[in-house]
Amino acid sequence: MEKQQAQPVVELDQVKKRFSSVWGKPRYALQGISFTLNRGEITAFLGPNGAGKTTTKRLIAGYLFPDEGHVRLLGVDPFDAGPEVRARLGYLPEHNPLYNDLQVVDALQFAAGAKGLRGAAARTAINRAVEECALGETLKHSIGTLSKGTRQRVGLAQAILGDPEVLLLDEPTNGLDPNQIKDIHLLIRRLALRKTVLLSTHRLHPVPELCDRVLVLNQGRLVYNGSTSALLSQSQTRACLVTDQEPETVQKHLDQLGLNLDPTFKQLPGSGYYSYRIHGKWDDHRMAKTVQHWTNLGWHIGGWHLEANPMDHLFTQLTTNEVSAS
Amino acid sequence: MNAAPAIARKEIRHGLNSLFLYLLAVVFAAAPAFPLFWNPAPTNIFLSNHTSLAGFFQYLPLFLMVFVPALAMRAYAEEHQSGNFELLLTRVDDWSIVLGKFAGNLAILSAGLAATWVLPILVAQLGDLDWGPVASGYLGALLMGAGCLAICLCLGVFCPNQTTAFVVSLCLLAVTMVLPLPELNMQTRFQNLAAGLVDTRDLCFFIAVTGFFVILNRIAVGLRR
Repeated sequence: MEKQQAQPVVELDQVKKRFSSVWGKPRYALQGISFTLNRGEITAFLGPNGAGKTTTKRLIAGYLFPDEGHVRLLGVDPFDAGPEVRARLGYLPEHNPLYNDLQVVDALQFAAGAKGLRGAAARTAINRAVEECALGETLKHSIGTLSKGTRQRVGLAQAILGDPEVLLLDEPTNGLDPNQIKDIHLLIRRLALRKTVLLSTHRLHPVPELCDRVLVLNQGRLVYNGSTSALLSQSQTRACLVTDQEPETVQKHLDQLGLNLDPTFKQLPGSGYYSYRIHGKWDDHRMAKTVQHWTNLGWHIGGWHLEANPMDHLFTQLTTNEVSAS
Repeated sequence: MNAAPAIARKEIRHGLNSLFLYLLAVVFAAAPAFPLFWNPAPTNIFLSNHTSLAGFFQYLPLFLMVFVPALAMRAYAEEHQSGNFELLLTRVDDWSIVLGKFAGNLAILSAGLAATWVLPILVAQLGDLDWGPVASGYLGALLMGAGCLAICLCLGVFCPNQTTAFVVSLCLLAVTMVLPLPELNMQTRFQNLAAGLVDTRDLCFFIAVTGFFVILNRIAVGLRR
């Protein structure tokens, strides 16, 4: 299915938010961030703990108001939004709060009622959410007795109830097993065909496959706002190489190729081999070709591999100020 | 305010799932029998040889003073502790939360009061019971209960846990029961109704207290954002 034309459904303009305590100095959780979220996009919202991700989501959800700047959800200020706008937002907060003493069906009925759904409309919405999140067998179970994964699916079902246009999901795959994670990712992909999804996660591996855009927040500032493909094109991964060549020789060859040798190389005791890390825009194909070239030059290659996922590396770069990004 | 019925239903559902509330309801229904049947005269109907619920209504404010904070303490404290308050505030408007919680807990309180109807039925078997003061007494109990509930819910918004909510609410209700100003003393107002004197000033007093604290509750919820 083709996505609808991109149009902003969430807009943040120079938003600042500070928190004050009675005795301490005020602390800025957000220091003037601006971005828009477009219809039909899945946007990954990344950043280390304490970067301001939760505060941003709370501002979009209308739980907090900004000290400076403007937040717009579907064209209105979410803090003052009426129930008709709130019903168009699905929110799964961090830690997935649920009423433990309620049965799953009661919790879903309450969520439907809170979104203003009544009678047949509520039943249809609940049935759809139950089907999407595979909760059919647990409807009569008390939430307090459910596994963490099932609780997570209940939280997600509450968020998608009523087919909201905007979904704010905070760690939706937290506590799920690999199969459930795969199912949830497929569900998010399906939902994103007609919704705007802001997905906050510490799992970086699925981001390139799942998300169209990436926002990276660090210390209350937006350090990256762009497409996933543009981010990945900046990827600097590290290749690990074990060879019998001296560091000077390796450095000379790398200089010719425009690559940087990590200074943390080490000599493998008793073998005459060295272990190197080489920074560059590596992929398997390029690495294999380069290794072949060195082998042709008579180097003995003890082994090689690419280190870590490119997203992990980019995340570290962006959030430790190693590289400044657009 | 269209989400208020859903919140009220949820509050009732929580009440139905709570063993503590069942125990509380049993105590609330049984305790008022004590002054009627075992207390020394004049409230003891056997010793006073007079079929009346005066003894029951005399002590009812004290029971309400404990029962209502115990009922209301969980309304907001649990939401805070579980993190659901954030979700609630993003889903529904503040009036829905306030009115929904008030209506749900008032329904539970009414059920608790209804459970004490076994007493007038029992007393009526023993003699000729005057049903006028009984009806006005129950009307007063409901109105005073609603006022107490509005006060406790309002205080509960600021309390981080159930124990604090209970203690703070109990203290404030105690103050309202012993105020030296009869115009503002809830117990004095209630005793007029319990004696069968249905004065519109007493009715208006309880309605005004309830309305005032419900509005204050709405402001308090807004401040929690």
